[in-house]
Amino acid sequence: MSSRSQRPVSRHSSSSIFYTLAIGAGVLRTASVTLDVAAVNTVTIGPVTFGFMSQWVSFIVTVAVVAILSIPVRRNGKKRSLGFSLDPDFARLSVLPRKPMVYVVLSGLFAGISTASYYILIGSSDASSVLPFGQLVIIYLLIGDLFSEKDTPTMVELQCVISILFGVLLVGVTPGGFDIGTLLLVLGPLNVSSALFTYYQRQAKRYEIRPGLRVDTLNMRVWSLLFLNIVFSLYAVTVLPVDVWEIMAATFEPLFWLMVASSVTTFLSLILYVRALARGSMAIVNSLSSISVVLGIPVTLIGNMFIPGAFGAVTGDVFLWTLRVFGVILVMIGVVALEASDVRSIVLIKVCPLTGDLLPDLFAIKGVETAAALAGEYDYLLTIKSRSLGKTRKLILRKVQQVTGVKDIETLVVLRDYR
Amino acid sequence: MTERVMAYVLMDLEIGKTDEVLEQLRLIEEATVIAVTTGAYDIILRLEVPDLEALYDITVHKIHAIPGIKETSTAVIEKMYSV
Repeated sequence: MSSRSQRPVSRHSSSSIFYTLAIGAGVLRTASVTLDVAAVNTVTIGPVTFGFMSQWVSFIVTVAVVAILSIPVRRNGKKRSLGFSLDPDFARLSVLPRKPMVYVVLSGLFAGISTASYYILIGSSDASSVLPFGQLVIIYLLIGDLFSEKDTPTMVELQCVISILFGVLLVGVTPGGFDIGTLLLVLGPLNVSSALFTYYQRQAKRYEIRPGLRVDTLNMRVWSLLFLNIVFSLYAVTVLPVDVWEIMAATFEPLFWLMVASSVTTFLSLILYVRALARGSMAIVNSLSSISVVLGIPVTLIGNMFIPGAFGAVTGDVFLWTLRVFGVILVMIGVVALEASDVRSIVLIKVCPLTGDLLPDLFAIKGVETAAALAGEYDYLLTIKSRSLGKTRKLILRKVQQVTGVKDIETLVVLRDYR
Repeated sequence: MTERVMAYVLMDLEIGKTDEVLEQLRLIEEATVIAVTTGAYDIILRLEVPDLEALYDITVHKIHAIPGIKETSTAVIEKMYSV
């Protein structure tokens, strides 16, 4: 992890970074899923056997990439690691502090369950179908946000998330629809464990080693992948064929570069995804990264033009394509509406003489992200996030005014911020 | 690990100078958050420095030297809770 002084404020606004990270994670996820589907369809290998081999190759590739990214270089007179550009909190490959490590172990455990479900699914589906299945996790995350967020999701957020969710489900519609086994796998292990993975990754990323310095996503990926692989391997050994070593020996070479490419894209996708989680709520990040579903269609079509059948079967049904176009429109409307409705405010507070410590009371108000006690003209400064100015006034400022001892408040609406 | 000092610098700017001031503020390595706001102040900046001497150095030699800043008010953070 780098020191605070090595981490200057970004050149881009916070909201631009957030949307770039979340959507970028989705784009890279499309590439990674497509590569996995292509690998399973081009070489005769069971999906779980492929997963077992691919996951451990991925771990070796990830450790190697993070080790290379640990190399220090001099930029503008400062000594920083190569990985600084991927995550400004990163310094070198290292063990995480105890508490975030516990979160990472738990996230790895649930990711292992989710990954096992994923490899079972890719054996029977194409990329444009697998990607929407994973988006049902948004529902679980939305429920999770309701319990864990200090800022309750608003009507606008709910509308956007539901618009995106229905959009991705329409995009993923197939002639056969869901079969019961797939549906249970999707609703149960795949998405419940995926939601818990997201929750614990977010907890780890939001852990502050000291003010302003958080756990870095690169080391988080290394350690969570290790625990993911252990859990997945425990499942895999129970279903792998007896001649698994011969199959792996025969397929390792033809699949090697596909596995490396998939590992690198997954690595980058997760770095962006977890960094986005540190900045926004879980359901919103997942909604934005679900852009991968829309991209799954052109990637499947273009891929099949080069290697027919390698990227899954493509339907010629006009009705299904119409539904998919409606799905794409719903996703786009949801993403654009979300981006347009984010209000941040700073509230400066003066208190009456002889008032005690109000910091805990002020921080306890829903929507308050940061509460600071100040020396000087003002006594407290709050940063507030909400989906509308109306909500800021009705739900947050009114509660601030009701805190006993508050004499005067000054509200400044943030037009743009850089972190 | 040594305790570090954090402070908010509240700034009032000359009309039409926001972008120029913002460009200069972004060059300050110790700035952790910069917010352009409506209301009584035009920009609010959060700094993180090793000690009060460094805070003095940045406010006086870096921030006050930026053309377009009319007035500043520096508030040292005594305690902070964050999500």
